[in-house]
Amino acid sequence: MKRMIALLTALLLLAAIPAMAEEQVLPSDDVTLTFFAGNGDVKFNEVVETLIAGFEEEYPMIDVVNVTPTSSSFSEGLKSLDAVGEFPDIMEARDVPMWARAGKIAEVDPELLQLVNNAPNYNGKYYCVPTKSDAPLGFFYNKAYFTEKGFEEPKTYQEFIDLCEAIKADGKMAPIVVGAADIWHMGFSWMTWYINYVTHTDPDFITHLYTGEAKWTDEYVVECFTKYADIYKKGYVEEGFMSTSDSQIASFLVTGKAAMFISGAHMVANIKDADPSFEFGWFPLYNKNGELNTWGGPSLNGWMYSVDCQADEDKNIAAKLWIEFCLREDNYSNYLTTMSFLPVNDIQLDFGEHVNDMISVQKAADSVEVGWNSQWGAKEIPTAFRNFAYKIAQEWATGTKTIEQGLQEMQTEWDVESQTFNPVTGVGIVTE
Amino acid sequence: MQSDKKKTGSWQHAVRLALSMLLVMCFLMPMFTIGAWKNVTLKNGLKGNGITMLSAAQTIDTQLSSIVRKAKLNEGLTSPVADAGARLRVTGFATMAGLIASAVMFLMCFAETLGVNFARKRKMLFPILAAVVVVLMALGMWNFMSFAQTIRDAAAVTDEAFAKITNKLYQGDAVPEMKISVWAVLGILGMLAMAALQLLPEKKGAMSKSLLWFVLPALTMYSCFVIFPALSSVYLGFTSYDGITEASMRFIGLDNYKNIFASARFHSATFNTICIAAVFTVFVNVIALMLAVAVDKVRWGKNIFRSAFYLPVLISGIIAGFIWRIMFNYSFGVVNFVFNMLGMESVKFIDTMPNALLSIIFVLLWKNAGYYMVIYLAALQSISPDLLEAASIDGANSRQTFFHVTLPMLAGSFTINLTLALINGLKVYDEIAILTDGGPGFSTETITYMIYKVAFGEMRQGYGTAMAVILFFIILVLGGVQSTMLRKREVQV
Repeated sequence: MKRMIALLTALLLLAAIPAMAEEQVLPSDDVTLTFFAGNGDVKFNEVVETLIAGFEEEYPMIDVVNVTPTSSSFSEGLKSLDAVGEFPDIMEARDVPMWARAGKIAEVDPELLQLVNNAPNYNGKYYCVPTKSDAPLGFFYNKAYFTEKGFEEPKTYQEFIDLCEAIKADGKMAPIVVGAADIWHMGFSWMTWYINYVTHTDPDFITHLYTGEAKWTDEYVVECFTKYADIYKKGYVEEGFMSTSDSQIASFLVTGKAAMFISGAHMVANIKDADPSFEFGWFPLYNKNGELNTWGGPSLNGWMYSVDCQADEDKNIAAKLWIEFCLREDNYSNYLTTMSFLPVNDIQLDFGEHVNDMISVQKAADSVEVGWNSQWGAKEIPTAFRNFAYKIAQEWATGTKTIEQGLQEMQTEWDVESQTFNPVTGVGIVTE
Repeated sequence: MQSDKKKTGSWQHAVRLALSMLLVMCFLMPMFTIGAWKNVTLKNGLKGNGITMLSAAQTIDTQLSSIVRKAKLNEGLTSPVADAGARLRVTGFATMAGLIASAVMFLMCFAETLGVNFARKRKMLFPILAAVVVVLMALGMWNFMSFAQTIRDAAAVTDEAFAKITNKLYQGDAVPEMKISVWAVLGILGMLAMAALQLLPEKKGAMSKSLLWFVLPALTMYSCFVIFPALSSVYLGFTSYDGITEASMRFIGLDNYKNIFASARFHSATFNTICIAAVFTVFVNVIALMLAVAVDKVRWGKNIFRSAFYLPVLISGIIAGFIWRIMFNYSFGVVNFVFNMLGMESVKFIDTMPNALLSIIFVLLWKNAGYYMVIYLAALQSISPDLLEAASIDGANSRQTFFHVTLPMLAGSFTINLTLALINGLKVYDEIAILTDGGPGFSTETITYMIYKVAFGEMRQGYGTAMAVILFFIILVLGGVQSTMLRKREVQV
């Protein structure tokens, strides 16, 4: 009898455990969360809208109001909201070190960090729950056209140039399309050349700029951007690139106006959306020695929430529920597969042929580096410098400036900005 | 002289003097403690006024050599620290001198209430004294801010060593900050108002001066919500403020201005600003005048034409930008589509220079011509038919009538339209933001657009504010010159 009672008790306890585990802390009253995310990529916007709709349906007491402006960049939009006293509650995490120094974003709840592996920290503190690890950058190309002409995926930089020349000579389409109307789009090509030639030569290039041991006018930097600008100068890029936006480049590829474009893994979904039957391939860009240095790995990108949000008990609960919701297997797998982002936890997914290729390439690369604008510590660049550099890149592309003029201006700008922000000397960095 | 006495005795004059005294007192009080040290409690009876600041400077000087010797100061800090005492001393002297100058103004006002007339000499004395006080105050503030920044920088790197000296001055570990009182700003505005009153022409003086009091309520509100915030933001131009982090607000003197004037980007933006403003001002007025004359003369469909030309004005700059950005698109735009149909080559409207700049000007003209047209049209319709008839009877042909009768009668509208067009041309923003985003690169940025990009996009609020101050002076000078020239023309007409 005693055994029976003990068995029954144990069974009851076992039955109670899932119920206890499922018990969620919910906001005590209706609550509104203001939400902000980058809006440059169409697919990302769709994923975000789907997440918000699903979240509001599951938690009817929480209203998520998307306050992302439609016409400004991420940093401008967030800064503008802050200036008018409407800093959002939850945000896509970017420029984390800057907002952390400003005391605008809160340290995230340690429980949330259990949902991911190896969350990156800033000064030993966790301000964001990461949601993605980047796949490498590379060129998407028209596979049918390549097969028809017998073109091969290039394995050295010279082969890449020869390929562009051959496509140009063929005259059927432009070798490359660039969406330069969106300034951030310039980052894809910038990063590819920069990683292959600048940080490949000096991995601590940014730190050395701060210490004065390196200059933007150094020989290997000149070589890098001379090669970069040659793509435009030699007529390999579709002519109307300055009025082409990032969202249009997939249509240039599928309609046969251009043979290739450089971007991130998120474009897989965009190309499939533009034409589901379109056959396309992908290859990374190798440097002149045939080495591959590429972009990728975990970064301070994900979700973050504001200090004010954390201070409000109901909002704090709602913000945590949002992050848990986004990282729940079904939502997270949809987010990752749609955007072709690599996971930051142990979730097993099949990304399909193209992304699997990218993962293999990343594993075999000579070096893998976090984007130059997502670094922190002594490699963090001044906030203003990224877009300044991309604007100079536009001027090289349009022939408005020579390489030497542009690099000289970049050095001058760097000298100015590093007077007020220098993580090596500590200027502009708040120490607590 | 007799009329002067009457004026002095009039109730308006008494009110003016009473208010002036009040304003000067507003200034006197904070002047006594200008350079007050916010966040810290001073020791040894130091109040932060001129005299005690001189005393504090003495303390710093006596301790200086040992501090510089003991503290591990880097090269960039050694020199500012050596100057810290001197800067505080300048602040002290400036404060004292300013105090004396404003006290003189106060006594003069008081004497006037007792019937003492300073007669002719008084006319320039007030403006001169006001200018002296403003300059001294600026000098004092400038040096205090430099001093405070030195203390802050040194305290950040020397920890205990520098704390020894600051502990002699005040309690706690806070760093000194400039305290700018609202009263001080009101006092300065009052002083400037008084000085302006003295400079009004004598003939119309009595009438104009008394009328000024009707403006006072509006001026007060305007000062509170526009002038004071604008003036207080000028300080940001001397800092490295990023707009979000308190700690980034370091006083860096004229560095922002030096960097701005050395920047090729700013030179390009200035050129574009002047180029857009000049071309826009001329062409929008020519087109608007032509449209107005055409609409005025047309016999049928007058209202339809008037509405059609005015319609683009009703569209916001952002929408107009989007419309033309799509139409100008190199690959998909309707303009190039039409060109191709006509057998012409596609044109890179917004992709290269100078096309991009010309496209912006074109959109501005398209959008704004209707607005200026309406002003010309109103003026055209107010010209008396008698004048035109008289010209006709005198044998003038239509060209002569237009140039010798109609055009001179539009002089007032020219003044308004040219001034408005110049100001609007100098602050173009929406169309650039959408059409080109200042590109390719920085090639179509104007100063206004650059201010926004720098302050909000690049997180350099201090730098952006410094540029806004420069733009203010550019507009002030250009507006002043244009206004003076056009007013002369109106008088001649």
